[in-house]
Amino acid sequence: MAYKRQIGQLPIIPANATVHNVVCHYCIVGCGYKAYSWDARYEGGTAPSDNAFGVDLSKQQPAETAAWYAPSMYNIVKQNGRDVHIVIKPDKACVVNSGLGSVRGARIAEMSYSRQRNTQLQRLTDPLVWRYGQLQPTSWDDALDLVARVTASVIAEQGEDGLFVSAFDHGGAGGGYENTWGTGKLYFGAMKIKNIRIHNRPAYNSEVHGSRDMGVGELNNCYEDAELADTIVAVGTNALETQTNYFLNHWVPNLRGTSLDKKKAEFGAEPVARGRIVIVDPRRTVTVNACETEAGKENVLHLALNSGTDLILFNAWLSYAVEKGWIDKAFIAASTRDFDKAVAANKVSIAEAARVTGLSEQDIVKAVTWIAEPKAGGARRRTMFAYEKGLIWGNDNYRTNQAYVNLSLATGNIGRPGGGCVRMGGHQEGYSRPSDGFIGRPAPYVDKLLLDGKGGVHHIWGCDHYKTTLNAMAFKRNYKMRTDLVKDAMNTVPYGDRDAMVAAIMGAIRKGGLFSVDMDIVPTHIGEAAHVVLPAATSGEMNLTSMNGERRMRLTERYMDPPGQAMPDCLIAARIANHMERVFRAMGKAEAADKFKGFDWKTEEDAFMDGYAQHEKGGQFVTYDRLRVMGTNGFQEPATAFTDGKIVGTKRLFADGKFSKPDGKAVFAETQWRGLQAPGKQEEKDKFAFLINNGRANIVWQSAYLDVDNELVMDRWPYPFIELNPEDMAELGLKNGDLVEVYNENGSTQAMAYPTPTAKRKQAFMLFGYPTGVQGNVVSPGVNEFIIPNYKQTWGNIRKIADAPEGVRHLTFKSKEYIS
Amino acid sequence: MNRCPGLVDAGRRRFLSGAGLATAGAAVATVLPAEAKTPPSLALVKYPASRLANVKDLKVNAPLEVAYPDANAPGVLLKLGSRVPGGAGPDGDIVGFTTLCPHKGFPLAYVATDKTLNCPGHYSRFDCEKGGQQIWGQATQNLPQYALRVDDKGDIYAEGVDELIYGRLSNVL
Repeated sequence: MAYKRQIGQLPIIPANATVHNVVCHYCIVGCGYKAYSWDARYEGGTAPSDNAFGVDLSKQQPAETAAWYAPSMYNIVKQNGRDVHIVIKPDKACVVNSGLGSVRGARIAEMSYSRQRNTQLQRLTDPLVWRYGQLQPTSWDDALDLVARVTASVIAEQGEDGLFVSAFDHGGAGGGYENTWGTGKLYFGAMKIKNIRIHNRPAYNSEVHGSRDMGVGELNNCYEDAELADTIVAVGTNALETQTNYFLNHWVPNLRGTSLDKKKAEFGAEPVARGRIVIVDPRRTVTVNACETEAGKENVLHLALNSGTDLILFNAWLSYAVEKGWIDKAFIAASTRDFDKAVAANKVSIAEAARVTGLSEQDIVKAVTWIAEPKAGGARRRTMFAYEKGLIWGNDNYRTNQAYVNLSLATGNIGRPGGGCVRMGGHQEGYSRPSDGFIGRPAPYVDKLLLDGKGGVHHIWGCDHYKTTLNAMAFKRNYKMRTDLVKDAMNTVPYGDRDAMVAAIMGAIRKGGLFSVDMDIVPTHIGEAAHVVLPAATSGEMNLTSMNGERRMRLTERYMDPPGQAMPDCLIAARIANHMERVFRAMGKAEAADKFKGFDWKTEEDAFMDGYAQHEKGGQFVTYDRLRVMGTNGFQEPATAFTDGKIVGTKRLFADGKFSKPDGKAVFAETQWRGLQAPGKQEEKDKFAFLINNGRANIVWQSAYLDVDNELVMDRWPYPFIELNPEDMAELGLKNGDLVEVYNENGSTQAMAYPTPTAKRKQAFMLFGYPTGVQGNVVSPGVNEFIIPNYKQTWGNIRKIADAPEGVRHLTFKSKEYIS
Repeated sequence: MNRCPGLVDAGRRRFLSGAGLATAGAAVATVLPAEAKTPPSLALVKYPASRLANVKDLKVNAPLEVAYPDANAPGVLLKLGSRVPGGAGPDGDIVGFTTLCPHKGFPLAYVATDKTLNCPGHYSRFDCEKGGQQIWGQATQNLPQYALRVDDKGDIYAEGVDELIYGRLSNVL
């Protein structure tokens, strides 16, 4: 039967509880929360004067009340060494979410480390080292000495290219301005490490080079624009599941027609109406269903195109809009370059686009009419262009991204209310690092170099390639072999003989071994290969700043202690730097040692002031104290002033028509269609029966690194689902919940069959990055010209492995679509 | 009553392994005494046994509106027509649930075609045949289900709820 907590009551937050600002550390939306904490031995009462809400809690509270919290929002944690009750609940006053909690964020408390209530006991509490054939706890100095000695020895032998790094580049948990700066200053400042990759891709590159190269930063609007748009275009984004409260709190009002007053107030006499939406996605998602529920089917156009053909659709839209004159000529003339050149190069007929995409000509025209046809009286139609991983991890990333930005520029929709051409985002952002320009473009394909036996030492920061990379099965095989060489060598010498230990490790590295150092908050799959594991603190266990998808920067205050000896990543990076300086000096390399100066930070605030405050645009106006005052609404980056006790931000980028190019003009791009671009993809498609589309589920955050220890989530998805058309299931002899193998020439993996009547025949959709079945195992190593992976266009075969196991038999397999 | 005893036990074990979910006394304003270990009081509240209906009142797949543990806690009784987990009555097919969505407290609507409760607020769905498991949605808990007992006369009693009901910090106010 379904998991139930058997909790019939919760402690009441007393009136004198301590309150901290919290921003959800999971998805990019960055919903505002408040953490209420108070001593564990007491609670408030139901009388209005006895609780934090000033409400009579002996009465049933109404829908959407602020005076209620779910069991998942409650825990007992340590705060300055003492047990405290903690409630982390959505903040009604935050303009991002207005009190809404997603199924992920509303579990922040339950997903915290609590020895008192046995939650997240998987968290790492001590530095671990490979000793006597297993990972064993040790002190920071011991672990850091080993890391520094081996790293320095490898650099001495191989140069800095012998040090490989995998590192987060985002905000929220496992990131944030403090921690990207700490790691960035270490690898791009003290050293110049070019064999570095980002958590979800095999190189150090932007996911949206295309947009940036045109002078259009990818997070250029504000969430309110989704309420103001005449039309929203959503490409490869399933926002209800992956940016939930952005969708619920800002898209839905427009689709329901309840933001009309806001439109009238903003646009005066300009004609306004309930919003319409064009959704480009080969799969029918719950987002499509919700949009139809709110806006009516007549206002929703779902274009279920052939997977990977978005580019030619965008080119056709542009061609048609130009032909009809549905473009913003004044804007194009004043703020852009190369328009005519791009239009000529990208010209595609509606008929040709229909042929390639599999869509009807009528639907393609209808969509561009919704997007670009002027409104009554000739007013420009306001269209917001959104996109995410369906485009980013899809065919021909760079050109497709640019083709989409072409259309949004041509229709004058960047920098204007109700517009924007924006990625929807995964994590929050929080990037502050010294220049990575020395890496060059294309950046080294780090996974491939590791597979080829390159590098001697690998530092991993909050990444789990075993779950989240492409070509994952080959990567794991090879990585295990290389790290086992080092483990076996370490097993030959007494741990306490440091010189002998380093010599043994270096001997193994010379034979192709790899020394692996893993910084994380939990044990990971790749961490099983590591020789040193260093425990990190997460959001709320440290002060952490990030910005969300509308560049809204907030400070999550430290509201609890990190587990055991865990430290913020920025301080781990600083302590590695301190030890590197010491070790290089001991090796007689004073010049190398001197590069590691400037890491004398004691707190995360020191790292923030060293990094963000001094290096980011507007950083001089931003301090922790000021951010505390700005609360969960913060300000939108970049900051432009500090006035009347408040940081002044920027609502939209490019509102002045000046773009991120030397002459201020956005550049149109030539983006001809060239089929399935990544090597091997067309052959894979021709050879295998099923599209193995893949992506996220509402209830799971990222690679389930915390969810894997959460009963609610693992009860629902003990195995990754694979959505299949029921007729395909019948042909494969599958019943609900049966385990299947997905396989092709890249590798194989497993999933749980989930019947989905809306799924097209031979088009499966599998949960990505899940610990009990890694979709990346079957993703080919083929990338684009800038080493951007293509996870989405994967084809494979499917066969039954086993009947539904015990842990699956209690599950529901009904449709995920809401029925009104 | 055909209730899954394993789950009830698991829930109790989970609770007992942690500290109390309810602590004694109201907050003391500022000065705190030195830490002392006090035994936790029970997280489970004392539920009333309330007669909600008689088996004869129920038609297969037709929801009957009820309230439990009190008049301000709306719920539903269902005779599903086939034996299900947590199902009571001679056919093991009678279940009861709260109808306040555990996400934001909107009233759930029963959809007879697939025996689900659906939330018009934010599209969450719960499966009445699977112990109120959230099929998809925003709630961080599955749907609170009633512990039901049917006596010799066919009277259906609710005697407990297995999750916290929306809008109250104690299921029994």
